[in-house]
Amino acid sequence: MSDQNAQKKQVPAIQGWFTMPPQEPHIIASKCSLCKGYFFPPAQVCRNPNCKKDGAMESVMLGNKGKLEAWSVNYFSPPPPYHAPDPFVPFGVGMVSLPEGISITGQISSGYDEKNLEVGMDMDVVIEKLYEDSQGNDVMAWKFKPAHR
Amino acid sequence: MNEVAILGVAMHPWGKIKDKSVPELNLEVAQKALKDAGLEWKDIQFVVAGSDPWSGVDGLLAGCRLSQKIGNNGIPVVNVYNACATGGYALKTAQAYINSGFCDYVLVVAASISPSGFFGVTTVGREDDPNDLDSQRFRILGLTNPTGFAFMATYRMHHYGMTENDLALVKVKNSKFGALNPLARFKKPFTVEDVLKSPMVTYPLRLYELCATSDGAAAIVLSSMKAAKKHTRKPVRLASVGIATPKYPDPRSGGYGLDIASDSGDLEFANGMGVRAAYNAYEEAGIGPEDLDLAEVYDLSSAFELGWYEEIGLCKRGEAEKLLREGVTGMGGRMPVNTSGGCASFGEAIPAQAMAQVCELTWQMRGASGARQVEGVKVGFSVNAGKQGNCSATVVKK
Ligand SMILES: [Zn+2]
Repeated sequence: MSDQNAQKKQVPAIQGWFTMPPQEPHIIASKCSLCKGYFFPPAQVCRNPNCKKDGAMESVMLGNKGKLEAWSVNYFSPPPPYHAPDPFVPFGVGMVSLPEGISITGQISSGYDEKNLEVGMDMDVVIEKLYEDSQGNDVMAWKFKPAHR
Repeated sequence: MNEVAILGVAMHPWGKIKDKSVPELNLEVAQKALKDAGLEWKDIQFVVAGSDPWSGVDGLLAGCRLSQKIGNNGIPVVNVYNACATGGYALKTAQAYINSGFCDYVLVVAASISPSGFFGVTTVGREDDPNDLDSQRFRILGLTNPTGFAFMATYRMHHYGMTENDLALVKVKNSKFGALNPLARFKKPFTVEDVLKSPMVTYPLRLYELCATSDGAAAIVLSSMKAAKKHTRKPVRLASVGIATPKYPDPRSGGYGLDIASDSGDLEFANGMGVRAAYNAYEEAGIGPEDLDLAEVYDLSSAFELGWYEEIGLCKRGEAEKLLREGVTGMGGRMPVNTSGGCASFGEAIPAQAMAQVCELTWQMRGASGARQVEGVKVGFSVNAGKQGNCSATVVKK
């Protein structure tokens, strides 16, 4: 068993959208060098229609502390490509505003009792396992965890 | 003035329709609407059809397949799809062609046969394709449409004091109207207790506070005001059609919290494109919210209905719950909302739903809404919003 665990890899759900452990947990966005707009998921071209569009898009790590704007707890299994555990476990989802003025949606960190969620509460960005893929790897993504600040 | 005449309307009852295809449904409602208008198929000079994304090529080329069924006569046929606002975009297209002088008589038609349950991913590709944002919202976030709708609900609870009781009350109000509409799919009048007993789908939204996926069909025959004079002394008028899409940096500009992220900018949970569609319609009709006698608003969830009260200007931000609780938007109220029964009683037949709203307004203006008729109405309004931030609104006048 320990052998298997040793070979178990952590793979990002999408390459380049967030940092991977053991790095500090951050969501990675694009920042336009001209209009200074932030974009997530990362953008090749600035999505501000009033921007001249010939600026460089810089890859930046967004601040990893934010505030919960809105949330829900999903009690029914979403359709694929959601990889639901069997039996299904309800999970929290929230919209969190990050310091750059961008708001990102993510699942609430597993193990947190979603019933205690409250709009306005402090949240930390974490990188956690989403599901196990067919090769036995842990597929990782960003989630949000209520913080005690 | 951009107004055009609504000469004929027709709907197939909403439900889960097992025995008819999209072309058959379109044929049926087209013939009914033509009859209602006192016109024949050969009078129609232009067709705009809403496409049904779940019916293959028959659905995509809905207007062409209808034309083939009813008898090809060589006229232009446009097939459009703009999610829940498809009907609005179809009506806008028809209105623009009439007002450009290109044609006098247009048939607008749409039908849908949709899958049951949660609307899933409509794109097919590699599961980890970073450009397939719809797949990623399901895969990484587990974010179904109802959960996106629930964000607005927890936002309203926190900021405006909305309660679970208010959410139930919207369903109760709409089901009271729906019980009187023979075209509605759900005709049972609900009590608050009934609704609160239904299973929690995505907190705080319960099963009966969410719009079901339905099948249905609607057709509307429009004409220029000049041509209408040949057929009727005083036609109901489509005074305006407002349409809108997201505009940077609308918060959540892909629509309704269903995006993975917002643009950077104002983070208020606002429906910018819905507001713009509504005010485009007001402006084109030369009226304001104070002129309305009734409205059909898109209640994909109970919380959405409350949001619309504010977004279309029936009240200020944060006052929608008061309007609901005081019965202003209910049966016999000063400003009845969703006299058809709304999505709560119909479910959603996506490409036909915005047209169904206009059919209801037309019947209300004609005084033909039977037991749910609102007395003395002169100005009606409809508004909706859907995937990718597609929004539309109309003003219908007696
Ligand atoms: Zn820019």
